[in-house]
Amino acid sequence: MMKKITNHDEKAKKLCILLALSFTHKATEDKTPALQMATDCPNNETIAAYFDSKLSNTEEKKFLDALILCPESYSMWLSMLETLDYPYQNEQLNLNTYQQESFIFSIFMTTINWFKSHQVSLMGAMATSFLFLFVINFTHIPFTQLPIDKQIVKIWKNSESLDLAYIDVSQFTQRGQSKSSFNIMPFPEKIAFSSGFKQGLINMSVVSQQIKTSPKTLDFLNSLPDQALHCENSLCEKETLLNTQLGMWSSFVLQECQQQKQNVKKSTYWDKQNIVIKHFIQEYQNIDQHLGKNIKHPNSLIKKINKIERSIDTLISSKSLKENLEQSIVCNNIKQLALSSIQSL
Amino acid sequence: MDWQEFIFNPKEDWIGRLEKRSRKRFSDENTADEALNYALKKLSENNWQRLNSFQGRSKPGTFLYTILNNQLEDFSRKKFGYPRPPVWVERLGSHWKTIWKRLCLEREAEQSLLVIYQHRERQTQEIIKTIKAKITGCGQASSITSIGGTLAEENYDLDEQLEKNAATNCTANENMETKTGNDQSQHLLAALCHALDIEADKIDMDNLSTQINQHSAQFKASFKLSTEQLLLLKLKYQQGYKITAIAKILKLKEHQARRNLQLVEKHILQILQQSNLELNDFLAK
Repeated sequence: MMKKITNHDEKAKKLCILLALSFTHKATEDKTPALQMATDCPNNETIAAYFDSKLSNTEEKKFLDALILCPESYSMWLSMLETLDYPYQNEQLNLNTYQQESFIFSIFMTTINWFKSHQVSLMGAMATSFLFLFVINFTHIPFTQLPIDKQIVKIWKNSESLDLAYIDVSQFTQRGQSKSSFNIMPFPEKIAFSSGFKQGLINMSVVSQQIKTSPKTLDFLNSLPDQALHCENSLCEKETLLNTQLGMWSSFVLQECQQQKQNVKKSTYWDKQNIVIKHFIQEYQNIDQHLGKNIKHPNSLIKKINKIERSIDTLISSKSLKENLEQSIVCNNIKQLALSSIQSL
Repeated sequence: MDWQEFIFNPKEDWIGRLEKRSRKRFSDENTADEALNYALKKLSENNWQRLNSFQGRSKPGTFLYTILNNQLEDFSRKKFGYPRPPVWVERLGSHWKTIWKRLCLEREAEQSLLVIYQHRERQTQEIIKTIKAKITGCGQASSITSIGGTLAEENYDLDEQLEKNAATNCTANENMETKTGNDQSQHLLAALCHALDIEADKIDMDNLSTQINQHSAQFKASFKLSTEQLLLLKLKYQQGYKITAIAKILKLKEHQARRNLQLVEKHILQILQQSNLELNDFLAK
């Protein structure tokens, strides 16, 4: 007669097994002669090879034997199970019972889960759209009175100014009106931005072989005339400096992204910024000698960069940009460039 | 192997994958980003020296993950400290240690952990419940300093800051072991009962823990388990994997894994019976 297995029995069994395993916690120090053969703990590549099924049967057995004796390798192996989501990585699972779901049920659950995961963002996007349309259609704020970040958004949206095919600034009137039909930034800000943009490219070209040798860069540099900036008040000076820096950073980001045909992903942008800021300060100090210009103390430069970061944050988070950004693509060569630039100095 | 080209190749998006791994390891977004920055910086030092041991015996991506995991753990140690967990936690296995570290040191939210370990949700829930009940102050603010803000706030050296944090955290946490008491068997039993929802008054803790201590050497000698048997038990009972998953992890057929597991469970229970450590007797009281 079969004994009825109760929940009580299951708990008792689990308690017993876990107690037994707690004894083996120290028992792994006792090596049998056979296990003494496996004294070399598996290294990272062997662990990787196990998951890639690149070990022979003998090697796999030896690997598992060694795992028991090497706590660190065992921890790394467990960690890799999590990293690779092994062995669940290719399966649709019922989270509670690890059973293969029926086809219809899985389609149903996939649809429900998609809706659940997207409904908040869908609602948010709809609300933002209505708000955006309301603001655009019913508010008539003159362009020149928009905050600087909104101006940048407008320009980016129209695919102007932030492109290697840069418009020669000498074409613009004093009031910032283009001689063409483009609606762009007012003149002083534009000049500051373009100077900064150019300066950024110069900075990069001096230190970066990749940028330096790009024919697009050289053409662009030659097309930009130098402009003098004359400010009559401190507000203008502040705005000018901000725009200059903004231009530099925009060129830094955009150049790299465009070179590699990538778009900027906001969530990782700040990662790269943090790394690059550190290197940028060093670069800037070195470049100063090349260009013979006075630079601010790095701390004040850092404060300016902070403000630029906030401006760029607004820029990147604008709805108009979101339509064009591919969230899964990362513009990651900024760091690569910064690192290689530092190494070449 | 040109690691720079491999990692930054936009087609394969390894940066994205490494970022995803870091987010899984640290559920707080800022910490995950910080950790990834740290890891990438370490990996790229001296022309990617840490990756130069790669010999082509595995896929480069899988190898990269192993090295990344090392660096992420290194970051965790520096940021949150590296105190030893209570002995009873260690004896209950790696998953208990991991949950303890993430819950008590890194102060991750319970819900985040349940999502991350969704395939082992029940086991994870049991562990979290027990750790929170048995370790006072788990997850509360301590002397751990958070590295936050932009690097541009001041002249900032990430490594230097992490080293400072590590020194502070070690000092703050060094007494955790003594605070949990000396009778580890009793603590272990109490924790297990709590985790398994066994009412504590049904077990004579003192008697049982004394018996366990007395028989521990005998048990160690008796439990001569093969590697496969030990891994089967560890993966099922300590890590909380289902048998189907365990079979795939150990590259066994499912029926084979199931049968071997049943045999080793029976073997363990027999040894415990022979030692007069019949837990059912205690539980039936």
